[in-house]
Amino acid sequence: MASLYSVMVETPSGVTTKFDQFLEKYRDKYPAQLMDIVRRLISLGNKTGCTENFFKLDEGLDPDDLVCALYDVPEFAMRLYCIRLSDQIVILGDGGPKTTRTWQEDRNLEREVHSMMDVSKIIRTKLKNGDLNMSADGLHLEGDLWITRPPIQQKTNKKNDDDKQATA
Amino acid sequence: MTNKPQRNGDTWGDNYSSPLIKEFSDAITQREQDQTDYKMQLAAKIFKAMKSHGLTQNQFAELMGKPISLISRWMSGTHNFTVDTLVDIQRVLSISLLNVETINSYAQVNFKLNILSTIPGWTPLELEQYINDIGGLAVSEKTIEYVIKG
Repeated sequence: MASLYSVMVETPSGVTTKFDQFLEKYRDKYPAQLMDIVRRLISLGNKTGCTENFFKLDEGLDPDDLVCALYDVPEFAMRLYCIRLSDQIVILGDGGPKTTRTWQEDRNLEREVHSMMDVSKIIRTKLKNGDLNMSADGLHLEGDLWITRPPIQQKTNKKNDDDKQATA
Repeated sequence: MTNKPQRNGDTWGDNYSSPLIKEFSDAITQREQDQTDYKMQLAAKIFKAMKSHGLTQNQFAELMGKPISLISRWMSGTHNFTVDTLVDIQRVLSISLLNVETINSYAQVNFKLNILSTIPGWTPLELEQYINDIGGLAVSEKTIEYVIKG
């Protein structure tokens, strides 16, 4: 068993998540690849847990950033970047087809990896200083899940904010 | 998707649920999910066995005589294994991945055999000795009654 989180974002068209953005971007062009990914995510959550064998580790630039990618199927490299906090908690991000040798050569993938590195840094800091904790059964993040948020008085103008929250 | 704790009473995003995830999930048949689950669980079992033997993927690759890239694919839960490969993995990791033992087609009968001596004066010990002397239970029904209770 495992919990799969994603990062909520406020966009001009409303609230969504990084993982939803990933699905939305590629649903028309790569439906089979996305279906395969969703099936495997369901298995990770309900059956196997998120052990390291299911992920390409060390995708981020920092050695301890926990940024990884769900393994691609052999026939087609579709990268979904994640932060693997434990065998039971993974935060899903965005990604895309990998057509270059390294993600640094692809602007889209580079942006998504850096985005997950940023989120990871904040989450790990919160875990370290106690603002965020893993539940006793290891399945949930408890505490302050806000990554950035606008000041309260600006909330009526959220559409222009880059507001993010990790969510189950 | 359910949302996580608030801060300062802010409920931003609390009622969010993903229509896209629902759309994809609804399109998955039980058969497809079962196939994926099985491949993932197989990979998890192999990975766990490898770890319990204290092997790295490199060492496991050497034992299997396969490239490390193939071992990573095996562990990823995306690989369609052949029976030959699974048999090899079973041998190297001493685990069971293919249970091919058939269930006994005969109805199993559980019974208790009670042997009563009809020979007057024989003690149970004498009777046991007699049975052993004649090589088992090939004893005339006239001398020994037996009762089979289902």
